[in-house]
Amino acid sequence: MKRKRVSLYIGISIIASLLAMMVVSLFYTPYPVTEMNRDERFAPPSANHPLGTDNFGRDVLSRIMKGSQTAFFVGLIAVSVGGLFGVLVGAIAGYFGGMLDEFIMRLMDAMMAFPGILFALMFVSIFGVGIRNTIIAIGIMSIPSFARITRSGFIQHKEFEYVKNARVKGVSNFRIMFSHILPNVLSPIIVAASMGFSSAVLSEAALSYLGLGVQPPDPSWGRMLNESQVFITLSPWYTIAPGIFITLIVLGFNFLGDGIADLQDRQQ
Amino acid sequence: MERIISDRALLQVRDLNISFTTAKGDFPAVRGISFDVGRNSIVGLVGESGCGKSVTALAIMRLLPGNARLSGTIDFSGRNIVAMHEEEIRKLRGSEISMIFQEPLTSLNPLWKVGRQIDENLKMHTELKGDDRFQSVVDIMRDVGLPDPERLYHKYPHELSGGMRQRIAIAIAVACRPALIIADEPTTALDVTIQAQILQLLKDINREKGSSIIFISHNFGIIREICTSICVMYAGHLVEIAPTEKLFCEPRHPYTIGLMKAIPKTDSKGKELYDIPGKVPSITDTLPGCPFEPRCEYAFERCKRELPQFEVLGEQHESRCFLAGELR
Amino acid sequence: MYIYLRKLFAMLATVFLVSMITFITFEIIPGDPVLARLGVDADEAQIRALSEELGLDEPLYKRFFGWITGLFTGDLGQSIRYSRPVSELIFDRLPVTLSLALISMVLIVIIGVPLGILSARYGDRLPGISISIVSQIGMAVPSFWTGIILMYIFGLTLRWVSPGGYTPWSVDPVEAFKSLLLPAVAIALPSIATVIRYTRNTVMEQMKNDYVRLAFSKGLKMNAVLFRHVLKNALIPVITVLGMITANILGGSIVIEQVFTLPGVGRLLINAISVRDLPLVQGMVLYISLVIVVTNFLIDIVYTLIDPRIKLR
Repeated sequence: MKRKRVSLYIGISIIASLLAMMVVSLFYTPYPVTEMNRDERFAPPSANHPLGTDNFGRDVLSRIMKGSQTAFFVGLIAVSVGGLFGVLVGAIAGYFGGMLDEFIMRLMDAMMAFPGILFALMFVSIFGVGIRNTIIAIGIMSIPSFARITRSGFIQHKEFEYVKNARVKGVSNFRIMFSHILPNVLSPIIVAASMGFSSAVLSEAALSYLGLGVQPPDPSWGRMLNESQVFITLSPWYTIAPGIFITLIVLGFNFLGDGIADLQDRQQ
Repeated sequence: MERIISDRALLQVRDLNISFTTAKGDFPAVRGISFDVGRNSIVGLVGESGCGKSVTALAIMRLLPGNARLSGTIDFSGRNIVAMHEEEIRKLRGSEISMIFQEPLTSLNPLWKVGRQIDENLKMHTELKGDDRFQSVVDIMRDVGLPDPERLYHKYPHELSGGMRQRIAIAIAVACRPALIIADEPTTALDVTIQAQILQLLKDINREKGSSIIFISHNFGIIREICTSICVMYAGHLVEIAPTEKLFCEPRHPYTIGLMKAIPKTDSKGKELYDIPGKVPSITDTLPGCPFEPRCEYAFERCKRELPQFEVLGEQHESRCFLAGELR
Repeated sequence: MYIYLRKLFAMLATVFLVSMITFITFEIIPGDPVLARLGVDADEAQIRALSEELGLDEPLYKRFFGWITGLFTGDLGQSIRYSRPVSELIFDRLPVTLSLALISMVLIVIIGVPLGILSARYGDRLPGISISIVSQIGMAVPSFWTGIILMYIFGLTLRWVSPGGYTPWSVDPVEAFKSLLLPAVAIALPSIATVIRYTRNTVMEQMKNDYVRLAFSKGLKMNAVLFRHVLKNALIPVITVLGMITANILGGSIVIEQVFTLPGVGRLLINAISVRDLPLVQGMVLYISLVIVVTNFLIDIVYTLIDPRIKLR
């Protein structure tokens, strides 16, 4: 029983530390992110540069800190976009049911079966490369998981007495859906948001690694991996650092999601 | 404790305690029960759900989950099951003691042909091979009243009716001619006509093959029909034990009396069905006195403080009530 | 037999739907493909000539049916960048990607399923806990980073395999396998972790069933119960997950081919996107989704073979 809480605590502490790092980076980084230093290229970790320097002699820690802004920004916006549309679509499908439900869920299944990265690539190839389109593509990719979870919650709750009462009283469908039912099915949606956050970060990293996501000069951990790979024999830590931070943030949100889900299981 | 000990009993349960260790503490499920199962007998364990009857059955098979703690002895033809090594009890299972579960659909493996599920027992516990083993399976299936066994052998559980599935489950249980069969509510999931057939089949098995049966049920009517003697359980305690007819003629525990009143009778149409007032105490409550005291209409001051001991009322008839001698 | 026909029909319907969506998506692209090719200085006559050559003057539905029949005749138009037929380019690269995907899938099944069972069996004890921690991390590590690290360790430092590049199967099967093994491991890792967790959960769910108690009451050993009775039952839901994993594998392959410079469909796709070679992108999106649809169809068939109950439904 106690072990279950552990995931929640691990998740919260990882996310809190990364978030703190992100907030600090808004005001302060050890070195200016774009400051190059020809004399200090590929420096190993030291007191001056805790994570070493890159091929231009830029401080890797500063760039990692700045990159956390991109990760959180992309994750937050993508999850909000995906969550907004996913919840809307799932609520409609679950509440009204019938052919509409059938159609929407078939579409969601088809989207889920399609590799997310392929969709994102298709999207940026049509609408152009850049951070905005990356976010939109990732957001669209996360719609189905929100839709599914919201739908199953709505299907369950629409049979409950409080919903029937509201209907008898003549409350509009819109109000029933969003001010009566939605608050009751919010917790699994929060879990989905946490998991969605980690897959958004992973997708952004992959796209940026391929050079088709976040573009310079915006810093991105995926982009850093792309740049560092060529120099891996010269300075492996330059490749290792961004990878560890991507793993950490994903791990943090996965643990957080698991932790919240366990908490709910126990409350029921 | 004075007990009538029949020396020839197949199974002797003595002072069996079962508790479950959880994060929230230890919960006793069965508290110091003792009873015998004689050779060739059918012993009923009866009580409301949660009284510990199924837990007792699983304890005899040593199939309780890892957090269960056992104390006392379960003597099976001279060997103590409680103290056995895993390997030892494993060899007993399916060959000398076997079990029939309540829900025949879920107790059969949905992905295996039913014949193969019976065959597995013979494969485990006998030297039979190939055609001989197939023939044995077919014979066993015929013995439990399955028509056209050669064809049924190749069916999957979902292709059979509930009654047929339970016959398969019984075939699995009797395959190795065990000395003891534990049947945990074997007819509860079946409709009434099938119920009667299955009861008859179990009686036949008992008579013809000489297997003793522990029959678990919450239904007094069924218990009466099949059992030679009955153990009544309440909240982990054994409260009354008697040969079947004796128990029905002279119940000597308020709980037994209550249960009997609750049996629907054919002449009581229109009358309200009797129900024992109150609820079964939760496994987490521990009362110092008699567990039935809060629901008992005969209870008095002493019942609250003290747990009554067994009172011997006659041959093989005991009741755990201070008033056992006076109740009529 | 009827059920297979129905599934086949459903699969063909999905193929049709997928190709329609792909076609329409690329139709609404901003920008004129003819102008993109000729440049803005092109005159009227040039534009009309190329439009006719590309069949762009025909109505939309005719072009769609022309394109979709091309799917079966192998004519999906010309690549702008390479000036070669799209299907030819794809078929050149497909073996690399498919063998990569196949090796990954095999790794996922032969590593993920047994570890999942083991982790269920030792639930709260040390092996169970360590497997679940490792799998939690496995799901979080980006596969392309694993790829880079694996290449650094085994390719560049230890020199056990070549650090990238591809030897065709026809040239040297052993070398071909060696060049695909590391990328396949990198692709497989996150999915192995997923399969472990999923198998663990379904096995633990199955262990609560009565048929498991009956199996124990027959006198079977733990391993016999797990592998003879539970495994097959637990595999049914796991197989569904494998369907979804196919998509992950192909998605992973697109990225990993870039890491290991493998001449597969993924690399072709990235090249095509960066030069906006849309006919090529369109063709590849279609082929990749076809592979997924067909795999899911095959998985569906395996499903009916394992579970006798399905035929009745």
